[in-house]
Amino acid sequence: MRKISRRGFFKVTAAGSSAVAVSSTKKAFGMKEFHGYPNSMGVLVDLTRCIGCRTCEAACNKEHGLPEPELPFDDFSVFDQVYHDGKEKRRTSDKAFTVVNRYNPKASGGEPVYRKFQCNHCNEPACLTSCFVNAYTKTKEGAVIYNPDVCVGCRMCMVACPFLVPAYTYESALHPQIKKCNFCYDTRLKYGKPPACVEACPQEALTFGHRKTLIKIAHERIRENPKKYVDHVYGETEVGGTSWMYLSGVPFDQLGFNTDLQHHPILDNTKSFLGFVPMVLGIWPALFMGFHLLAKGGKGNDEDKQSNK
Amino acid sequence: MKSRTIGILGGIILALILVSAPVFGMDNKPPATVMIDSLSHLFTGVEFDHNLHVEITEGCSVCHHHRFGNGVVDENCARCHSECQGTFSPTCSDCHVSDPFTGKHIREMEANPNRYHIDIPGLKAAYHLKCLTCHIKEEAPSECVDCHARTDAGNRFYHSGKYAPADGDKNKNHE
Amino acid sequence: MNRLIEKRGYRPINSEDNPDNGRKWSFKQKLLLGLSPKAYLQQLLHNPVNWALCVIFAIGLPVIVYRYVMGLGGVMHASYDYPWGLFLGFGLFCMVPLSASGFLLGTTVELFGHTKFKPILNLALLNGLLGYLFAVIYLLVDLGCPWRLYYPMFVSWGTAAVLFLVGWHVATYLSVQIMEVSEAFFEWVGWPTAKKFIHSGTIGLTVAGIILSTLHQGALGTLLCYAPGKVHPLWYSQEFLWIFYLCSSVFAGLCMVIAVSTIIKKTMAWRCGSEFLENLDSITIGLAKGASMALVTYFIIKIIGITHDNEWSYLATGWGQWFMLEIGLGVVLPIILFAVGIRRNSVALIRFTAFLTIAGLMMNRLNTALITFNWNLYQEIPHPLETIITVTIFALFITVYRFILYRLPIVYAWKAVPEEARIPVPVPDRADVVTARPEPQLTRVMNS
Repeated sequence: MRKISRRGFFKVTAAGSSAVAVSSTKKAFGMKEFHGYPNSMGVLVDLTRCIGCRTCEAACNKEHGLPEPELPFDDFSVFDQVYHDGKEKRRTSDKAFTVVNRYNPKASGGEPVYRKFQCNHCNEPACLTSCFVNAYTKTKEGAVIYNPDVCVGCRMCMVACPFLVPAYTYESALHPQIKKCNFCYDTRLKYGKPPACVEACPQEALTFGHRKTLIKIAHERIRENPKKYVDHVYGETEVGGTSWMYLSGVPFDQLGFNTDLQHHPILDNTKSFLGFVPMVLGIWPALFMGFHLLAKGGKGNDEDKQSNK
Repeated sequence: MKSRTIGILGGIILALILVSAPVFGMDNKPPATVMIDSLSHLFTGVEFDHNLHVEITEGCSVCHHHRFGNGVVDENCARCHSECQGTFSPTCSDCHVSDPFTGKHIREMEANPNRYHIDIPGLKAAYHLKCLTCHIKEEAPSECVDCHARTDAGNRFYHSGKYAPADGDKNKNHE
Repeated sequence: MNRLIEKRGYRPINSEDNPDNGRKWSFKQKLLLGLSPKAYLQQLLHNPVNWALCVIFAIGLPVIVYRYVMGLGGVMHASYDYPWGLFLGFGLFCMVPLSASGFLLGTTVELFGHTKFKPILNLALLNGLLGYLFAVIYLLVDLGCPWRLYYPMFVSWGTAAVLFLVGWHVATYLSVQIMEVSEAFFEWVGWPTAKKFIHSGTIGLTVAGIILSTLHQGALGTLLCYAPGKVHPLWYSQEFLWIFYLCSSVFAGLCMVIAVSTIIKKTMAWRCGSEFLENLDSITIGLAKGASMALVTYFIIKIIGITHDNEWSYLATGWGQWFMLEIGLGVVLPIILFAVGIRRNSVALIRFTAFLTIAGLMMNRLNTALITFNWNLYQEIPHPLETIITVTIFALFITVYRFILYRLPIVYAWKAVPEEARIPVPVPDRADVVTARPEPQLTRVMNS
């Protein structure tokens, strides 16, 4: 017999309470919905501030050591480039992780409005949840990063991405991989620094901060300048929320944004089916064995022998 | 290589710090010109003609929202600051920090949950937002190089000038 | 082959022993269909289909090599907006439902005991196996790093992904189907013990087949639930897409069996056993009955799907007309034609309808995965080389399919020689020494 000393008692209590803490964390992870990590960082892109100088594109190119661009970054003729019978403007590629496009929306009377876009770093990313080798990770800082070492190259993530962001190095025979913005995770974000494009932007069209704070800032900007902004923070709830969010002075659909997106994670679309899977695994064997026994009605063995001949 | 990249990008921020020390002398007179010249890396410095801008604007508060005598212009500011008598220093960098996105600064802004001003642009943005908004509106020069010439490092950064892509030149229709 | 049968009285191998001399067929002889190498080569050259296949391979195989040397970019548009092309749109999305035959007839015959369909069971199983095998081969062409195909199994698990489920199920189901078809293989190669062993597990394999098929046929549809805005609303249904895919795989698999058996009957009658040939018409009508039930069900749930999401207004658009064309040609018309065919006992009409239904199903799969994908962006026509590779692999599919049908007891019954009846005779080195052996001949007569 050992007497429990006062100190020992505290130890046990501490252990117990930490166990409770651990189990409650587990409970939190077991939740059906994931709304992003609590201290996730993000960027608020205020399109009313963007002047289309493309400095972010240049900074991104330099930060990631991307190939030389076709045209200089101060060449604004790229804004006139259109593809697919004029239906599409420039998009992210394996050589450019961020792109600025110019729009002349009706709402601004044809005045140019610039839109920067890149990976929006969803809270519950479709690329991540659709990947069958878990090549994607949502870091606690909010970045959605990709591991080329396990990627099989099925390109499901490209199909799944609601923002059409991931690009693929199709021309590589031996090491093809997905290329997309990684929030400068390896070089900056994980050291607490803002991504290169944010730092380079002269207008602070890109505001870096905690996602939670950015949402407050965004709504405050709208509240203070109701005439300047459309009353919507794009990315606050789209596909379950994204780390990168947008403010605009003209309706988002006039700037090439997809405004028909669902406001819950893409993953939810598959949940009803995935929930059905264990049911099939559990019910089908007994159900069909039952049918089998009913159908054969005891004479099964004879028939088997006959047909076996 | 990496440290160089970080260095260069760090330079972009530092580049925009105002050398603001003796903006106002003891005689309380505004300076004729202000040299914004820490912009040493990608762009050369800007010699800001303060006198010219004093002449063509309606009042100090057009630029300095911490006004000098002529009332609070922005009605959003006026909600709280209408009775305010102006601040001691008109210097931009007193409120607009040069690196607004450091962990330290972000934490500072969030430390007090009651803090109202959590959305203060950094110094570089404060300049550009003030200057450029007006310049575009008034059709004043508004290209980057109209105010500050680009350095060699800047040309390299933008893949421009002598660093322009070989094939890019012939397609170039914008200078 | 038909020429050989007519002119030289050729009889295809259908048992362990050579009826001419009573000796066991050697493996090489079995491979050469009991012909001398020269005769085998001659019949190969006489067949115009082989020439057509040769032309396809001559063009296609270098293109496939080119794909592995130059990367996918060499043979595809390398589009970021259309990551999937024909390899998956046709190879995975069409081949898998068309290969549902294995589990459907396995269930019918083994589980529900409808022995009427027994003569076609092996064909249905083989069709399933090859369909899946070639879906995987298409995948090997399409994947950026095909050498990492086993990664989702052994290296890194993305357990939340629907594709993870598809991958595992296709892999497992492929193994199940290999085991099911291996019964015929063991019979042909002459390992009765292995055959018996596999046969003892038939029910287990069949049930596993139903489970796996239910799940991955549906999962293929669910894959597109990741792209809600990209697939046109008329083809998309968050709740029902997997049921659409599962249900359509039923009639697709059944029609595929009708179609393949039709081709076999027309071109390979020499290889068919009497049981197969005699029962094929009534089996076809039976299959058509099953297929039309599935078609009617599919038509009903498609309408429910449109109503559920209230997509009626889309029908008035160009995409709506394309949708109605797909449903009209691939579902409604087959329902009517099957009904007429079944009522009038017109096997020819049923066979035609089966081909029509397959075309309709392929139209549906290509529409969902490729044609209406990115319907509000722009449309893309597959790269010519991509099309060539797709055709080449399908030609390979046909070649392998035919190779197996010529040999294994798929559409004919293997005549087993009871062990006790065979008298062990020392086999001489030269075939011409022994001219006749009465005993084995006798057993054959008794057996048949």
